[in-house]
Formats: sequence, C-alpha cells, structure tokens
Amino acid sequence: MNSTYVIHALFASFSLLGVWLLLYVLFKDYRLDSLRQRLFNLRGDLFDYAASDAISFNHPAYGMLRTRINRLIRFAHRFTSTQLLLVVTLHAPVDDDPLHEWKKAVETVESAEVRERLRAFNNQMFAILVWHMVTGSVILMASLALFGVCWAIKQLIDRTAVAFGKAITELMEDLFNSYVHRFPVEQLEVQALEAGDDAELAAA
Amino acid sequence: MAKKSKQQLDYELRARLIDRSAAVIETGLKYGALVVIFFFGYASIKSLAGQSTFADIGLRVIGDVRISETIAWLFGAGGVGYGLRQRKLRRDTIERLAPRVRQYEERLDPQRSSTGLPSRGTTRPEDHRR
Repeated sequence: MNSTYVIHALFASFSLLGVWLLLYVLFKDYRLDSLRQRLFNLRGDLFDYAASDAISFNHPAYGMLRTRINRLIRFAHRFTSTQLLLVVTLHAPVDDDPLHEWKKAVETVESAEVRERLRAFNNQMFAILVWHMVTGSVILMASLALFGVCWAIKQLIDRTAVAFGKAITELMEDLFNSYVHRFPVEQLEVQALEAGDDAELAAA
Repeated sequence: MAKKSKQQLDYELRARLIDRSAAVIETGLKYGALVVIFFFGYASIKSLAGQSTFADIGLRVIGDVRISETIAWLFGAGGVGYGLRQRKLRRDTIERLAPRVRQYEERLDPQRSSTGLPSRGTTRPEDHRR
C-alpha cells in the first residue's frame, strides 16, 4: 500500500484517539457538570421562591420537590441516553409513587398560583433531564429533529386546513347569500304578512 | 425496615436490570471504539513495515487525505468547543455562588469591600487597556 496513505491513516488514528478522549472523557464530564449546574440553579430558584414567603420551607410540597431535585443532582450520572432508550424500548414499568405523593402534597397548597408555580418547577426539572439525555445521543437527536419536522408539517397542514376551511365557509356563505338575495324574499314576507292580516280580518 | 411489596420488588429488579444493561452497553461502545482506533494505529505501523493486512481496506478509508483532515479538524474544533463550554460553565458557577458568599460576608461585615467585578467574574469593560 502507498506509504502516504499509511502515514495519513496513522495521523487519522491519533486524531481519532483525541476525538475519543474528547467525547468519552472530557465532554462526558462536562455534560454531567452542566446538568448538575442547571439542577442547582433550579433548586436555588425554588429556594428563593420559598424564601419570598410564597410557601413554607416545612410544607411537604416544597420539601419533596427539593428532595427529588437533590436526588437527581446526586444520581445525575445515571441519566444517560442509553438508559432512556432502554426504558422506552422495553416499556419498563415505573414506580410513580414519589411523583403521585408529591402531586397529592401540591393539592394541599391553598394558593392556585403557588400550585402552578410548583408544577412549573417540576416540569422544568423534567425538561432539563430530557434535554440532557436527548442531546447525549445521535439517535435521539435525529429522532428529535424528525419529530420537530413532522410536528411543523402537521401544524402547517392543520393551519392550512383551518384557513382553507374558513375560506370555503366564507365562500359558501357569500354564494348562498347572493343566491338567496336573487329571490324576492322580502316581497314574499310582506305578502305573507298581508295575507295573514287579511285572514285575521276575515275571521273577525 | 418495612417489608417491600412484590410490585415494589419487581420495579426495583427491572430498574436494576436496565441500569446494568445500560452500563454494559455504554462500556462496550466506549472501549469498543478505543479498540478499533488502536487496531487502526497498529495496522498502520504494520503496513509501514511492509506487511499487508486485511485492515488495509479500513486504512485506505481513513488514510484518505480529506477524511484524515476532517478528523483532525473535528478534534481541534472539539477541543476549542470544549474549552469554551468549560469557561461558560465556570462563569455560570461563579454567577450562582458569588451572591450567596457576598450575602453571608455582608452579614458579618457590613463594610465589606468589593472588587467591583461583574457577576460572572469577568473584567469590567471600562477596566480594559485602551
């Protein structure tokens, strides 16, 4: 084989080793740190929200949510795209007791605004996790892109269908109105009323 | 300790299985890729020594100038990207933690002096050399 090819192949092998190091060691750690940072930020925002007297630090809805965020921060290294793919493909049953208990605790909060805010914190937590797992896999990124394109097409079709339906309805209304107005409806109405009056008079 | 129900034990078993399977797959992919890379390096050296191997086909692919240059660019750009993202993460952490440190220190020393740096710990725009 041509020695230039071989030297390039050797050079490419070193570069591949570097890419491997970047992907599997450096970026992997960075992504984990970044996930924890975002969860810490969320926990900080939740703390600030409770500190603003919106909800007591002793309320179970606050305490359970904070505990769940703490667990996610601690076990963040276990949230990988492979794990997500396995859970999705194997349809693994999920023990939803902690979430169910938290939802029940939220229902005991008096203010509807606070309840909504706590649910928003919970949704944000899920969004952070899902984004982390999806961006960690080429397959999931491709599926997200495909989902995005399909969703956009569906929205476009729905909106076009709605707009088209609206235009057709307006057209039919105009057509019907112009058709109806070709008939002497008012004269017929007047005649009917007059005939009615005459009949009443005759009866009297 | 309260006795766990059968359903709970089932959940735990499935969760453990998935966790272990994910770990096996991830480790396989990680070290599998490393083995392939070392194999290419080894085959290249062997080829330079004049011995042809069945890996020559693979070497022809990664030995293509455009492909080897693309991989090199990927490595370089990835390194720069990694550095930039690490810097952002460090500054995000400063922005998150610094206000709390200031808050606690000001409780003990209300006259506490400050560097006057922005919240992310960067140089103030007006302090840059003209």
